[in-house]
Amino acid sequence: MKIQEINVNSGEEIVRDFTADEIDQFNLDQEAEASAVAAAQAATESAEAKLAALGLTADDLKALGL
Amino acid sequence: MSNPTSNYNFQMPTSTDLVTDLPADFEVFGQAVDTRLKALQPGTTLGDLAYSSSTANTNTRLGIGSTGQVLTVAGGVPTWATAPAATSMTVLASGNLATGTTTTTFNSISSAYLNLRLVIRGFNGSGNNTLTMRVNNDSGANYATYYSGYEANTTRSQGSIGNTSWNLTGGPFTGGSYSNLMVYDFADYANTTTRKLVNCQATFFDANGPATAIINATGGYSGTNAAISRIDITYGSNVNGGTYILYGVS
Repeated sequence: MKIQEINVNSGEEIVRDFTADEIDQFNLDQEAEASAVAAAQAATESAEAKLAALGLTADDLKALGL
Repeated sequence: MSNPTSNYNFQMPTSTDLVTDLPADFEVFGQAVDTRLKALQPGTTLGDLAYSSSTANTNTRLGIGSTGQVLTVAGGVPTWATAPAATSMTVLASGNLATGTTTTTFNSISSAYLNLRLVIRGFNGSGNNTLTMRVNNDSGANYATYYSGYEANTTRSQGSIGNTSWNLTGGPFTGGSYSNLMVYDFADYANTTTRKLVNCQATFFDANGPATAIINATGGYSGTNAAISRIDITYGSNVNGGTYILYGVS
């Protein structure tokens, strides 16, 4: 994995490999992001299931401006 | 016409005046007109203006201002003043996002400006993924996000706190070459006494939606009160292309 570093003050720009710490952080971040996306998806699916139980869809809510 | 005249009370000869008095009468009349005109048009110099004064039928001269000055009001009368400074945008850095990288870091950002604006044009990646952002290399749970928009075929409005980075654009983006656009504004980024915030406007090709996503998001950062001197953007897959421009706004 690589990182593009731009020194705004000097204008210097380099591309280098991640350090071991940066790789660890990247992996942690990706896990956290995947969890957040999954949680959001689960919330959406849960809400859609509740709507379906009421005989409604997301489009019905949109039609009501909700 | 009434005599004397109705507005300025100029006295004119009457039908009973002696003809021999007419020259003197017109001298009185003419001088009165001349004096009044000068009172109404007090300008002496090219560019002078005149405005009504508190004295009836008398205007006040306002000499022409100097180059760049603007007309304003002070004490109930017009006056020239120095024009407020216009907003200017200075390009601090610009170039291509490096293909094959996952993170782009802008460091050593000067504190000399009022605001920062980061524009990412044509961003695209090698896979479907999300784009996150950090400031000052802080990976603590100090990031909050509220965003609204249309994404994944859904009108969205949601917020979260305690995150370790900002995901201001939702997503995931669709991997491939698309004309995505993201604009990030960091207001008052250089102050050292408050938390920081960013506003993001974005439109991109959505991996979960009907091609186009539009997002307007605000991010709050509560880690430290230090000026923002570093911004990192990280994509979950390799970057395939796009350009960046970082502006200092003053």
